Amino acid sequence: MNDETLLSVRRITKAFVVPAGSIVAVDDVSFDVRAGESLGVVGESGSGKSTTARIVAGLEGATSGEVNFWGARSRPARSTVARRAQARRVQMVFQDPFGSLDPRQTLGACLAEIIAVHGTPAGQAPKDYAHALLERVGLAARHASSYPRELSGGQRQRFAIARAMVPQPHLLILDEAVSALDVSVQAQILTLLNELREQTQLAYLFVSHDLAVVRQVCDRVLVMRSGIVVEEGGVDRVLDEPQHEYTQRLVASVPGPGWRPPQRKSRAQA
Amino acid sequence: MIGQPEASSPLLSIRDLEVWSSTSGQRVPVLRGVDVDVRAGEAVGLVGESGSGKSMTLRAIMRQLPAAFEASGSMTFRGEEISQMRSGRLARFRSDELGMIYQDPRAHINPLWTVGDFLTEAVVVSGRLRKREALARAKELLEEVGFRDPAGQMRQYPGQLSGGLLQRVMIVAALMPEPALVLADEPTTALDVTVQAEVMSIFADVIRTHGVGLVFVTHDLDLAAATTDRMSVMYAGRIVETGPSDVVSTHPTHPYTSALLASRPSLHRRRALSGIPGQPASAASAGPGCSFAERCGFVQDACWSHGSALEVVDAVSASACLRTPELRTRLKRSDA
Repeated sequence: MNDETLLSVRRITKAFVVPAGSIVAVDDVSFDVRAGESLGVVGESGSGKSTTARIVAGLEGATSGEVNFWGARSRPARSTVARRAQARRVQMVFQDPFGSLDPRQTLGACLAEIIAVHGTPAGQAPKDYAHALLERVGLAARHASSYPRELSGGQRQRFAIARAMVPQPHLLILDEAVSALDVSVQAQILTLLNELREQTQLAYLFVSHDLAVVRQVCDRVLVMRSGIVVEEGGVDRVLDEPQHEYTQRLVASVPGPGWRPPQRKSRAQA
Repeated sequence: MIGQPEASSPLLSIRDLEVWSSTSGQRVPVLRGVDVDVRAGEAVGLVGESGSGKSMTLRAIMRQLPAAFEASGSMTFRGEEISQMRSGRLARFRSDELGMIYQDPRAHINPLWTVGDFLTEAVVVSGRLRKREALARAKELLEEVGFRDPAGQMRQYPGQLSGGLLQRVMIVAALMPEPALVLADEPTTALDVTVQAEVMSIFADVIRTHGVGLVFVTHDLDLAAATTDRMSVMYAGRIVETGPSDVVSTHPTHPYTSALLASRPSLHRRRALSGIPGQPASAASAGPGCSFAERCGFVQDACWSHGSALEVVDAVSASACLRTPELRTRLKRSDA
């Protein structure tokens, strides 16, 4: 760990109790994220990537292991003070922001509420700060008077990002944040994410099943399968020269120019 | 087998299909001037983003449009006009001659029935096969899609199967009546990517083996290119480009197809994504000219009034873009 290490996750494990015993969703996972870095977490359903993200966000506690921000132990917040401090470190953007937006609240009112809790950067009036955030994510100040239903999917995701930026977090966790978007709109959001990171010291924990998207916005990547990190490294190295058999299979399965589904080896596979 | 059609005559032929909706009291277009031909044994892709009309085209073929939707134009199956089929004939068309595969298998299978009962019910009820024959065929097909213990699988319930295995069961269900035509609507979109690759390889295999015609609807142009012989790209309720799948996916002739390809991040390198400004349009919001004009980087004055009919580009391709002849070389895919 060095001075730049924003997030340090050490040996986290998460077990869920089910009637038949327990399921280990995350199994001894460790990684670091430096300030301003973008770390991808890729995997398929059941890989534990979202559970890992939720533990880092403080939405869930780990069964064992530690999550440290700037070298200090972080636990799911119990008090209001701790929750606000947590919010200034890490914010989360989900796949479908619609579910977390109040349909009767304008975007401006929504931002004002959060600004009232967290304040504004030195000297800025709340309204100016709200407008600046909207513009930074590619919306217009006039959208402050819009309702969520008046926005397209891409605009809603832009707003979800603006809302997450209010407390000026150090880490933004994006959980399949572009997966539900049409590709022409997805490209706009990916470009926005790259621009935001250039302008600020914001770091990303980018959870996705889509390797091509991860290549586009991440510096490093963890490949998870069944709760375990099977491969980790620079995004170019991992995708160009995957070492683990599973990463190789994952890379080979992504349709691209000239891609064909793999030949069936035999009929008896299932 | 039902009598084989002439090799040259299309199994399914759609001409100038229009669908209008009057759900909101106002009559608005959903599909405009859609033409599709599918020959026996041929796989045709319909590719587009949300609202492009690709799924609605499938529903029109099945005559399962939502209430307050009306279709016009001609859709023939083996020369027979689908809109003229009376209820008994229509039921037989749907049950015996069409196979359907949907995105979410769990929404289309009864969780309280075993896989075996689910697979055999339709063909037995329709009188196409006797129960014993149906069981034998189901077993054979399950083996074909990779189940090692078909008899055991048939005693299982849908809840006991993963999404990938269940989608294989749906492929079997679609093939049970020996249909001539299979309609697949994003059949692998909900699956993990390694499972998608596996299911697509099985799917492509059985479609070829059984010589059925296929209409494959997807938002993924590369996936469509890997699976189909020809494809049509749809935008705002119209087909904007059609041609051999490998040509469309590498040398598009329409600016929309080209922009769509340039929007998709590449697995192999980080690149500037051009994206497409604005939102996908719908047929209802499109103006009289080219429906892509407001988002197009090559727009000219004439585009706002020029009709959106497909014009022949060469022997195999057609494009709805006025400027295709001059732009063609510039639209080539950059990452191919």
